[in-house]
Amino acid sequence: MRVLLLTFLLPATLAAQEPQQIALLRGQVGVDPEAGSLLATPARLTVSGLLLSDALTRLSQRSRVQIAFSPTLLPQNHRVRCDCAALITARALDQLLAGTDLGYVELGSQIVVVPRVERGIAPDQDGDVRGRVHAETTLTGIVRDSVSLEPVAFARVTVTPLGSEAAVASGVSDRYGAFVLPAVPASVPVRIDAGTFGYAWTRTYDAPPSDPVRALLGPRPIGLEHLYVASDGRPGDPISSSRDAFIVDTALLRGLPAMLEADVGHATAVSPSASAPSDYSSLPYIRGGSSHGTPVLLDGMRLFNAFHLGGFISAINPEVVKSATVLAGPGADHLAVGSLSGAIDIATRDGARDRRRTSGSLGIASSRVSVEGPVGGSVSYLIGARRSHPGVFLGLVARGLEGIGAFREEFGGRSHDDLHPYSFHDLYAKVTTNPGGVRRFSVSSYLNSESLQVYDPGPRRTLGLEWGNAAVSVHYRDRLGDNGILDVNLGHSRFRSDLLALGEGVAPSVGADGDSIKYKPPTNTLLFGDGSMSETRADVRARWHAGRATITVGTQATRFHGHHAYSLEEAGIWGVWGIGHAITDVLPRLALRDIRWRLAAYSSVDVPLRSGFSTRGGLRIDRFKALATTLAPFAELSYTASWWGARISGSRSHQALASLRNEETLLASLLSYDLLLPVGEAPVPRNTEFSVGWEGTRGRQRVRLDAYRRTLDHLRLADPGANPGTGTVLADTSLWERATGTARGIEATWSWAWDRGVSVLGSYRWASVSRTVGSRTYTPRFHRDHEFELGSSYRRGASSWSAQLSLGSGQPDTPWLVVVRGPQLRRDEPDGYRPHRAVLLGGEYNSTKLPHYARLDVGWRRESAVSWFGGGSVVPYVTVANLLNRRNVVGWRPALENTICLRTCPDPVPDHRAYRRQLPMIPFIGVEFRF
Amino acid sequence: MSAREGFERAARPGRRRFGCSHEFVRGLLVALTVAVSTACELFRPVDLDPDVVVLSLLLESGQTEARMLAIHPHRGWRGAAPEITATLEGPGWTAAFVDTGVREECDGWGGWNDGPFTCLRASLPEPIAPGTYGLRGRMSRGSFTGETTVPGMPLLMEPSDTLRPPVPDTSALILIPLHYQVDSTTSALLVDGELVVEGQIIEFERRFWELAYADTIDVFYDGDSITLDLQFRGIGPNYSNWFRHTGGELVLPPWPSFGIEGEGVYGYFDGISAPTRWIHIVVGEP
Repeated sequence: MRVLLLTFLLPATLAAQEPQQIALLRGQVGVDPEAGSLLATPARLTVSGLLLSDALTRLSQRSRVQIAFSPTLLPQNHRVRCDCAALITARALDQLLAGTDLGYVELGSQIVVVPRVERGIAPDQDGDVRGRVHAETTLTGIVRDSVSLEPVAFARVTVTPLGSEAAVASGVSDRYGAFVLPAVPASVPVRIDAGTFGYAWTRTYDAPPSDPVRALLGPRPIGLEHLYVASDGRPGDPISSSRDAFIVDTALLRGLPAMLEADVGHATAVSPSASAPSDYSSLPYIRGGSSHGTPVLLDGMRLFNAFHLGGFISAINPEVVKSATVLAGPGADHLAVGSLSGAIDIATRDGARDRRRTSGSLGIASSRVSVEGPVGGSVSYLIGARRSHPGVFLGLVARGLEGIGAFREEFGGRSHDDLHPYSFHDLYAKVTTNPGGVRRFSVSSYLNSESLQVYDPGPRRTLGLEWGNAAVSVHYRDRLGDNGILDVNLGHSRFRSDLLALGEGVAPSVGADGDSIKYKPPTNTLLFGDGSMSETRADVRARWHAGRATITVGTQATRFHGHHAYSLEEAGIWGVWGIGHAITDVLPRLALRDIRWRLAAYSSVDVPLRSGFSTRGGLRIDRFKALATTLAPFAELSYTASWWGARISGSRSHQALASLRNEETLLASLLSYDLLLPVGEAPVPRNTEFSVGWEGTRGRQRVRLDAYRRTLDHLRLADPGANPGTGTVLADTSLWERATGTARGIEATWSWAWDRGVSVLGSYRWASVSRTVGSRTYTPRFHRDHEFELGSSYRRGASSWSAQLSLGSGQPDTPWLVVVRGPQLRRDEPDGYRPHRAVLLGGEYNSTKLPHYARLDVGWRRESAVSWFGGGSVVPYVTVANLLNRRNVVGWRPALENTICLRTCPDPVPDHRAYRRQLPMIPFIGVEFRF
Repeated sequence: MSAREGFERAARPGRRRFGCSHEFVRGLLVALTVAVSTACELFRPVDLDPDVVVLSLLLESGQTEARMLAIHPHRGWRGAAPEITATLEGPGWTAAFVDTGVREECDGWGGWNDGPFTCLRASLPEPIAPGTYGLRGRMSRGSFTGETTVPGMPLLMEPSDTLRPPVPDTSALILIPLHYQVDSTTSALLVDGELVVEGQIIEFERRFWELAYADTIDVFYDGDSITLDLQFRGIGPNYSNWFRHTGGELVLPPWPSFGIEGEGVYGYFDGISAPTRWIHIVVGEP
C-alpha cells in the first residue's frame, strides 16, 4: 500500500514544486545567474569587429548554449567586440547587447534574445533590461491533414510571440494528433506553427486561444514571411519521430520491397532491435526475447498469433495501418504495456473526413480493399478487408518450398497439393467521432480466420484445421482540466482454433495385380480438439502538464483466459498437424486451462532539467492474482544539445504469461504460433534492462546508437537437453523448467534522405543472447550475433526502386559428431515396437553456427494517375525476394540413408543432414489502387 | 555493358546527373556488390569429421574369440579403412586383435552402408565368462580404452520348458507370466526365438527387453496355431545405454557410458551372458 501511495503522490509532489501560472522575466546585467543555469555557462568567446548576429552565433557555438534570436530585429551593421573568454554567458550577452534595445531571457533549454517592450530604453551602463510580465496558459489542439482530416502524429507545434523569431513553447503531437503545450505566454500576440516534413500550417492570434486549436496541415509549406517549418520527423524515417522507439509509417512500409505484399511485420524487422527467426516469420523477436514476450497490439488490444500463412505475413491489412511502433524494451512508453520484451504497437488510421475514398491491392496471393469516408460532420469510418486467392499461387509457393526441403517432415510429410484448400481472410472496421478539440471516440473491430480443409473423398486422411482472431476496442479521449488529456481504452481479443484430423482410410487406386482398390473412409481420429486464448483489458490513463513536468498516471485491469484441449491418437503426427510429436507417448492428450487477472497501476513523470538535461521516471505495480505483486520501476536521464542527444536508463518489467511453444525445435523457426498460459506459481517472469543511447542529426543524416543489457529471470522453458529436436509444443506446464536468460548488444541505425529522391535506412546490431535451463547454458536457435540491414529507395518521377540487403551471421547449431550403428533389434514396449539401429551423437547444444545469412530483395513500383471512378492512381509493383537465390539455411534434420540391398533391407539409419532452406528467389507482383 | 563500364560511362563529364552525390551512389552500389558477393562466398556446408572411428564390440559368454568392428562412418566407400591396433584384457591375460580381412565375419553387427571398415578378431586363451574385461588400443587420432562386465546368465524360473496354454475360442492376447533372476550387472534382456505359425517359419528378429517390461510374454492368437520358442540372455549397461538412445534425434552430452573412452572414438563395448534354457509355447495343434 505504501508503494501504491508513492506511485500517485510522487507526480503530484513534483508538480507542486513547479512554478505555476505567473512568471516574471527579467534580465539584469551584473546579477549572477543561478549556478548550473544556461546563463552561467562559460562563454569562451573572444570577438572583435564582428556583426552582432555573427557574434551571437559564435557565442552559441563556443558556449554550446542554444541562443535564439531574430536576425531581422538586430540593428543593421552593428558590430561588437567582446573579450569574454573567461566570462560567463550572461556577462558576454551584456556586452554584446549593450547599445541596443534588446534583452535576453533564459527559457527552457535555450536563451532567447528578445526586444525589450519599452523600446528606446537602452540598457544602462549596467545593462539592466526588464522584460514584461506575462501570465501563462496551456495551449491544446489537434493536428490534422487538411484534406482527409486524418490526425497527424509526430507533427511539431511551436508558439512564437509576434515580433520575435524565437519560439517560447513547442511540442509534438501524439498518435491521435493531439498536443498540449504548457507555459505559453497568455496575453501576447502569438503565431502558432504546426508542421511536419513538407507540410505546414500557421495562424496568428492576439492571444493564445483557450479553446483547442485545430491545425490543418496543407500539402506544402505556406509561404508566409519569416515562416520556418520546424520539422523533426521525416516520412519513411523510423528514428526521427521518437527518441526511444522505432516507428514504421506508411511511407517506409511502401518503401521496402514487398514480401507478397506490403507488410507491417516485415517492415518492423528493419529495426536493429528486431530480428526475425527465419524468412518465414513476419513478426520479429525483440532484443533476445521470444514471441510470447512481445505482444502485438492493434489499437491497444493484444492480438494472439497475428499472422497468416504460418507467420509469413502479418494478419494486419496494410491499408488500415497508420504506423507500427517497435518498443524495444521497458520504458516510459512501455509502462502501459507491461510485457517482458517490448511490444509491437500498431496504430490504425482514422477514416477520411472529406469524402469517400477507396484503396486496395490485387496481388497474386491475396487481394485487399479499404473504404473510408465521412458520416456527417464529425464522424468517419474505415473498413478494410483482405482475402487470399484459392489455389494457384499458394500451390506454386508450396511446390517451391517442397523443392528446397522446407516441407517434408516438418510439415508432417505433406505435399504442395495439401495447401490448395488453404485460405485466409481478415476484416477491420473503425468508426471515429471527433466532437471537437482533442475529444474523440472510436470503436474498432477486427476479425480474421484461416482454414485448411481437405474433405476430398480421395485422400486417406481428412483434415479440417480452422483458427482465427476476433478483437474489439473502444477508445475515448477528452481533456482533463486545462492542461491534461484523459484516455480510456476498453478491449477484448480472442484467438480460437478448431482442429480435426482423420486417418487410416484407403484411397481408391489400382493395385499391382491390377485389381482396383476401393475407397474406405478414414476410420481413426488422429487429432481433434479446440483451443482459445482471450484477453480483456480496461485501461484508464491521464496525462497532464504541471509546470514543465509531464505526468502520466494510469490504471489497468487485464483478464487472460487460456484453454487448450486436444486429443492425439497418433504420437507420430506433427508439423502442420501440430502438436502430436511434442507429446510424450504416455500422454496423448493435452488439456490445459487457466484464467488469470492482472491489476496494474502505473505512473511516469517527464521533467526537463536545466542545461539541456531532462529526466523521466516511472513505476508500475502489478498484482498478478494468486501469483505475486511486483514493482517495475523505470528511470532515465537524458541530455539534449543542439544536434545530438544522449540518454541512460534502467527499467524492469514482468509478465505472467509463458508459452507452450518450444523455441528450440526446427519447426519453431519455420512456423509461427504461440499457445500461452499463465505460469502456475510465483515468481513471474521478469526482465531487468539497462541501456545507454546516443543520437545525432546532421543535415539529412540521422544516427542512433544504443547499447543494452538484459537479465531475464524466472522464465519457463523446455529443457533442450531432454530432446532438442522434438517437443514442438509442450503438453503440460509441468514440462516447463525454471530458466534464466541474458541479452546484451549494441544497435546502430542511420537514415539519410536526399532531395533527389534517394533515401537510405541502415541498421547494424551485435548481440549476445543466452538461456540457462538447469545446468545447461546455450544460445537460443533463433539468435544471430550480427545482423546488418540496408534499405534504400530511389524515386524518380512516378517510379521508385527499392532494395533491401540483409546480412547476418549464422544461427546456432548443434554439431552432429557421429552415427553409432548396431545390429538390428526390435524393442518391445507397451506401446508397440520401433526399429532401433543407430545412436546419433551430438556435441554441446548450439555450440556451432550455421552458415552466414545473406539476402538481397529488390522492388519496383510506378504510380500512374487514372481517371477511373472520378480520378485516382494505380501502382503496379514487382518484388524479387532473394534476388541472388542465395542458399540460406535455417537448420537441418538427420535424414535417412538410401539403402540398396537385394533381400530384406535393414531399417534405414540417418546418415546425412537434410538442410531446411530459407526463402529461395521468388518474385511477387501486384497492383495497388487508390480512388 | 559491365557494371564497371556502366560506372565509367556515368562518370564521364557532361553525363553527371546527380552532382556530387554520384560518388555516393557509385560507392553504395560497389559496397552492395562486394558485400553480397562476399556473403555468398561465405556459405560452407558443415561437414562431419572424416577421421572418427566407431567401434562395436560385444563379448559373448562362452565364446573363445571376440570380434570387433571398426568403421570410419564419415568416409566414402572408397576411403581408407580404419588403421587400428587393440588388445582385449581378461582375467590374467591379454589378447591382440588382428584384422580378419573378411568382411562377412562382422556382418550382423552393422556395416551396411556405414563406410570403410575393418573387422578385427582376437583369439582368447579361455572362454568369455562373467567378469570384468578391458580394452586398449590406438588409432590415428590417439589412444582409447574401454571396460565392461560380462553379466551372469539369467536364472529362468517360469514358465517351464514347455507350456500349452488353453486355446481361446476367438482371437485373443494370451499373457504368459515370465519370472527370472538376474545379477546386478544385467541391464536388459536379449531375446532370441523361433516362431512357427500354421507350420510356417516366421522370421523372428532379436528383441531387446527392458527389465521393467520383461514380466509377461504376449502371444496373439487369431485362430492359427503357434509355436514359439524363446531363449534369453542378459546384457550389460553399456550396450543398453546405447540401445536406449537409438533414434532419429541427436543425443547431447553428457552421454551415458557406452564402455569406450577416447578422442575421436565412439561406439560400445559390452558383454552378453550365456543363454537360458529354451522355453516352448504351443498354442493350438501344430
